[in-house]
Amino acid sequence: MAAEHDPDAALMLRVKQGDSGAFTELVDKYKQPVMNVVYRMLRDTTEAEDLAQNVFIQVHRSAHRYQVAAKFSTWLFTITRNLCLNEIRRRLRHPADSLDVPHPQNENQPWHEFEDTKNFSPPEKLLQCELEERIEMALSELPENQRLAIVLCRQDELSYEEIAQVLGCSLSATKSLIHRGRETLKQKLKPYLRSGVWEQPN
Amino acid sequence: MITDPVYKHFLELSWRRKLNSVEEQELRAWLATNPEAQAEWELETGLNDVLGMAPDVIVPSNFTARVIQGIEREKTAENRRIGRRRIAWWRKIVPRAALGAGVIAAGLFSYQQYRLAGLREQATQREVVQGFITISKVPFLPDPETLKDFDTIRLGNGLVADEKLLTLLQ
Repeated sequence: MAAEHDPDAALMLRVKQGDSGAFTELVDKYKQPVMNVVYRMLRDTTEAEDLAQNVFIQVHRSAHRYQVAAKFSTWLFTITRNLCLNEIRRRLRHPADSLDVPHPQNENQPWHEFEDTKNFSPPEKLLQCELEERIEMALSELPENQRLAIVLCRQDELSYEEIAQVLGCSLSATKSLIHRGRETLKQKLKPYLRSGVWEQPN
Repeated sequence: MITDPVYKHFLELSWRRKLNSVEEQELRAWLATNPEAQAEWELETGLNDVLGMAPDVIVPSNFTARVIQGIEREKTAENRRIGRRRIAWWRKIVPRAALGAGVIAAGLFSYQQYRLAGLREQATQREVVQGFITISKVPFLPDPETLKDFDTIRLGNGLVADEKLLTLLQ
């Protein structure tokens, strides 16, 4: 099994024995990919930081029953997926107040007002930022299972079989999720994909 | 959607990484014989490039330290919970143990009293039996007529004869 030759699994076994240095090594290695996945699922930087930290706290909490049944990264991203889905469901049960709610005494004024802190950057950078925003927006509008499949697809540590394990579905179902998600993204991002240039807003 | 297995193979490879030169060559050869797939392939590679543009999210520099702090906080909270559970356990067990000890002590005391009463009863019975044995060893016993005035005779043994009264009676 690939897990037997997995250096991260060996590190995790050391964590199980109480080696805090091994745990720090794992956190340092995986904090970026975990943050990427969590942010793209939750779309909030602060919440993503908190949840990503909770992923590793959960890893530490579960260390005593860790067994090398799969690659460490598969196990880690399974925990990440579960915590993300729990948070998304929690948000559906307790939706936050909209920032666009009008002021109760003046309908023309928003209730919440924030200082505009935009920087004035060169046009190319603005276009780049706008493209990145569009990509993030398009990703965020995908159903959560398609979004997660596409985001995990970008993780070099995971094969298609391991992505299927994380998602809890078959290999063909996983590829189907990725394909359907990509079809939707192609539709949303077609103007840029066809011309290679994002249209400037009027 | 193009379902040709060759195209699908290269498509799924391209989702994970850039094709190497050998794979590119094979795909170009396939596309040459299937030109209708060219536009679709260009959209797919365009999307791969665009998705590759999505930057890494910024991870705070103190991320690892905060994870370790979170673990320490959990350990402290768990130790406090264990301490509170132990105190609650003692608060539940000590009164019950005291009650149990009281019941056992009362039981032992009652048993001891019962045993002492039994021993006293036995001692009394032994005295009676001993008296019986003593009497049974006497060779003969006076008849009941004699014994009828036994107390009078016993008490009378200590008296002195009234000589004057006896002389008068004579």
